[in-house]
Amino acid sequence: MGILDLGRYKGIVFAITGFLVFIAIILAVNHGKAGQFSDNVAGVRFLENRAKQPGAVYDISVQLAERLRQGEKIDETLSSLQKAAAAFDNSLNSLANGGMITDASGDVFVLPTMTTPAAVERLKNASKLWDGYKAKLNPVINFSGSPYYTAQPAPAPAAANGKAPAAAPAAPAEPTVQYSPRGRRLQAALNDLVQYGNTAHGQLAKVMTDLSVEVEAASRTETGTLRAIQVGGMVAALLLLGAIFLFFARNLRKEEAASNRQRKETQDILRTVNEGLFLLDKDLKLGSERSMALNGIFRREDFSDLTFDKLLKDIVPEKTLKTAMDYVALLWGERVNEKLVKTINPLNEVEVHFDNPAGGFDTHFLEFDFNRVKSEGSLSHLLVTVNDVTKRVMLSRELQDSQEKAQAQLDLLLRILHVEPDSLTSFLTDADVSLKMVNSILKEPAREETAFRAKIDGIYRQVHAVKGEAAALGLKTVEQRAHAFEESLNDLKGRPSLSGSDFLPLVVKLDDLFNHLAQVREMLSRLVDLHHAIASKRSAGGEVAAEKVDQWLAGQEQTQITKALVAPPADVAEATGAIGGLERTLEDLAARVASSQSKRVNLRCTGLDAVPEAYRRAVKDITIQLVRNAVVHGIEEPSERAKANKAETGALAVEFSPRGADGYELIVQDDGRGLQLDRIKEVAVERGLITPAQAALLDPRQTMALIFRPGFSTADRVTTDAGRGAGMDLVRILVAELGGRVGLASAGGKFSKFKIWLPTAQSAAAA
Amino acid sequence: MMTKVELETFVEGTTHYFATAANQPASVGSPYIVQEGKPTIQEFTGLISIAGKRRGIVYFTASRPMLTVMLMRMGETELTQENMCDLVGEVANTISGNARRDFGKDFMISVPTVVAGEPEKVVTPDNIRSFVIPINWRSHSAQLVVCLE
Repeated sequence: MGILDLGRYKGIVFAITGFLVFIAIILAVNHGKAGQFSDNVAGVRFLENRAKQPGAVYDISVQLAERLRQGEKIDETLSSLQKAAAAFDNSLNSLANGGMITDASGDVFVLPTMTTPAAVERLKNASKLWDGYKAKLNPVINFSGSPYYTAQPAPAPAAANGKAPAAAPAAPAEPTVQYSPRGRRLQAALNDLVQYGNTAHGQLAKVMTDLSVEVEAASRTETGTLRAIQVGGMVAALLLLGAIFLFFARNLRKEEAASNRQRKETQDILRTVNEGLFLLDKDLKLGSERSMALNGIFRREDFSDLTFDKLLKDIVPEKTLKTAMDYVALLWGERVNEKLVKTINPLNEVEVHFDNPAGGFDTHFLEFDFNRVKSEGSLSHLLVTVNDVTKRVMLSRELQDSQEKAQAQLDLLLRILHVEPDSLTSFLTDADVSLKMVNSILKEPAREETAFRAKIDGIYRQVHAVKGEAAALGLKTVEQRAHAFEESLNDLKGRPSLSGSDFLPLVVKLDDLFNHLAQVREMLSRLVDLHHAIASKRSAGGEVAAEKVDQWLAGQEQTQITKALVAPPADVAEATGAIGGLERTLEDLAARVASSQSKRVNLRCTGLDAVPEAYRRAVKDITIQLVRNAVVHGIEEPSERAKANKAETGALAVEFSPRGADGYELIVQDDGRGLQLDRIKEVAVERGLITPAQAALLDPRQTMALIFRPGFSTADRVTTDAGRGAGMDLVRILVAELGGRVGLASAGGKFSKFKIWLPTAQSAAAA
Repeated sequence: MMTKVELETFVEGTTHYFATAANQPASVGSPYIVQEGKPTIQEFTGLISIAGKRRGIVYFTASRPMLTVMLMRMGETELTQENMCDLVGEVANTISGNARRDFGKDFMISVPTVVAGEPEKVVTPDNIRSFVIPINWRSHSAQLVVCLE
């Protein structure tokens, strides 16, 4: 702001300046008049003094005449006369010449009253009189030498005092004075002077007195004027002050009204606007003006003395708070490209959490926008705009989630499309039971290590069953998860001591399996829905649309899908039954495992449709384990079979047959290499199941029984198909749980035959 | 998906409290999942809410007899309900502190609240399974329940 750029204060500055100038003028006039007054006083004194001078000149003249008459010395008296005459002459001349006077201290100044016409006239008359007087005085004051003859005796000492003759009436008789001619002329001149002076000195004195009176009168007039000026000035000053006050009072009122209106408008805006608005100063303190929406957004009423970090501290995680503070600090930099910085705003979607009085948090999303406010060229504040964008963010996240879910479901769909819906349904039900069983085992209270260790085998069997069936169905994602679960269990088995903490990874994996199976279930349900939709379209004559769906499905997995989806699931279930699904599952499993082992196998299933419901699950689990075992361990590779004069394709048979009151018989037989008893003993020793000494004592029957021991496997490495030795253990336990028996026959290089006897369903239930 | 490390953090918080404050370590029981319905709630429950990367609640719930013994072992003579509430609150606070230390930058962790004898006040988020970890101390058993998305 320049010195003359007074803005709204311009008016008041000018008014006050004018007022001060006015006061200064009044004071100057006052001062001038006061000076005049003192001049007049000095003038009056001067004139009164000068009024006495003509009288003095006359008195000296008389005294001189008397001394001369007495024959006394006249030098001194003459000198006095000369001085008195000269003094009056000077004074009169000065007065006549522009009113110049000299005060007691010798200062010369002009008395303006002496220039008035009346005074000039008086002075002129006085000058005339004085000129006459001077004409009489000149012969006297110009006298020099002695007025007496030289024979004249010396004057008496008393003559030194001029007044002595007059003051001594009793003096002796007048002496005879002998005058010189010049003395006589002097005496004549003196007589003439005294005669003239007798009238003139009074007149001159009167002129001076009159002038003095005039000056005094003028002085009185000046005093009156001065008083009038003072009073007038004061009144004018008061009036001016009043005017200024009124003017500014009116302006102030106007400005206040305008300011009130603006404030109200601002308040209306701040009360109505939906955004949270506030200013941040350099110390990151919130300004006093803020929008009402802020209260709702931040769920608080009191923002006084609040800083930005305190505003956020309790509602965002520490990491977000640090990011926010760093960003705001960046905005305060003078050399910051605001547009650029705004593009990296990390606070445009901040997740905030408010304490919920009912417990927990209420989560919202806030959008912060910052604008730098500049004042006089420098950054003064940050204007912060806050919006609650929870709905927008939630919608966007829901959309994103559903897209991700759709993608994941599509992936899953592609993985399960080749599986028959019935087999899948059956698997999901069984797997759910297995996993719940795992959870039940986990839930059993355990404090001692033995209790923890006892859980492992039970859990292992359940998970292995799930893994086996998942593998049989080709559900790779489930199989991998179950395999990872088994690995965790294996890890626990190897630990020297166990506690509940060691089981934490298991529950996490169990949770993952539950979730994954739920997704598979959801996908299956959608597939079935789609299936129904296609069927209903067809029945309603919507062939074209249905064909399109078929074509799309066929594009993914031509043979399996069409086979599985052409008929509605209800029909499929009725036509094939759950066991029909098992037959296919076993065929697929045998084919898949054979393929992975570079073997060929032909599976033949008979009687599986006669499996009672009570044994369905167990038979499935048992056959899956045995079929896989047969392909992995029994059936040889084609080249080996050729050498042994066998068909390159191995034969595998699964037979289920009722045996009347004796229950049921399940036979799984292959034409492979049979059980290699030496290898079994060797592995059992390697795995620490038996000692070498025990191995030497085992007969063939006891040796074959080793394969049912937990942890026994002749596979060289652990794969998803074999290796951990849990499969045969599972078979043994399942059979035992049902109250059945397992028989095993084998001929080296010729065959292996598992014969399982199961009691009738009723006796199993009773057991 | 819930991770092993997250579960371990909550468990450590709980066992740490027993080891330091209760003068006798607690052992961790066999953990399990509650898929449907509410997990166990005993007479006193100290609860923290969590938001941010994960949302939900974590609570420690214990019986009056267990808390009585704990208070006695801690040298507390006044075995009042108030002190028992304070005790489960402190356990919850230790769990919260541990969680803050391990993953506090991504999480918002509430101050602990205590529920005494009113199980309906412990509100678990809908449709979220809970992990239940038994905390065995002497002959007693409390539960740590982790119910997070």
